[in-house]
Amino acid sequence: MKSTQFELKIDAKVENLSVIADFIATTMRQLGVEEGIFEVQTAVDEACTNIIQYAYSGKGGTIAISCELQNDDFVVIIRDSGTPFDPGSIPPPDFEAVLEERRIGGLGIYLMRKLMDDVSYSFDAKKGNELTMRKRLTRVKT
Amino acid sequence: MEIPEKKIGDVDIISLSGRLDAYCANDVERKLTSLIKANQVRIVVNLEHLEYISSSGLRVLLSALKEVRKQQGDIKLACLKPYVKEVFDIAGFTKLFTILDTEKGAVDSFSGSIR
Repeated sequence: MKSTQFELKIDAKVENLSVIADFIATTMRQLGVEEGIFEVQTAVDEACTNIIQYAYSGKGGTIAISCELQNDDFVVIIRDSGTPFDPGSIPPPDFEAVLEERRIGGLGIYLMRKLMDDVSYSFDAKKGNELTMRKRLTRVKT
Repeated sequence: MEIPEKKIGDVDIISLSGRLDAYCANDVERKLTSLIKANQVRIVVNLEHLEYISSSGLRVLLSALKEVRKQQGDIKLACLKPYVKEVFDIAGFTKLFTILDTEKGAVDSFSGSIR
């Protein structure tokens, strides 16, 4: 049986980040998932912020988010048609660096990877960017 | 974001609330920059009512911290909610900032430090 899929299409604007966070929380609760909501919200927020600020360079576009349960995973797929951007190409922050040398970038992608169990990216000339993030659940209410 | 501000002695206290994401990060950056420009570099940021912080928020706090430390000041954080604290931990920011349980504790921790 295919699980229910929830979708949100929204303008790529920073003022919509709270709408996206609400969508994630509502969707997870509707699917009976009570754990990890903050973590998924943060990972999705970071991914969408990158799309708004880098893929679309703040010029706007559309972000399409779809969520579903696949076995024990809560899966979020985020699509955009901005500049291709592979989060895997960004090195993690240097945690040993002293304050003066601590770089400002790379933190959002690092958080996405830490908060989710799997993050993968693909690009297709027709479909654009597709980021898939999975969160493994320990218990799902039915 | 509305950012209430008060002063106790020579310590400036600002309170953040709601979500500190890429949308609100500029408001907080503007507030901190205006304090630093006015040479007010002993700052407490009360996070009691902050529900959420993303890397955009962390970034703003980190740049401000670098700036005030250059001027022998500091930014101390107070009253972090558990999830906000978790994000600070994961990002390795708990090592960079002094974090206190109460606003008073954060203000008091400035006394004795030389400006």
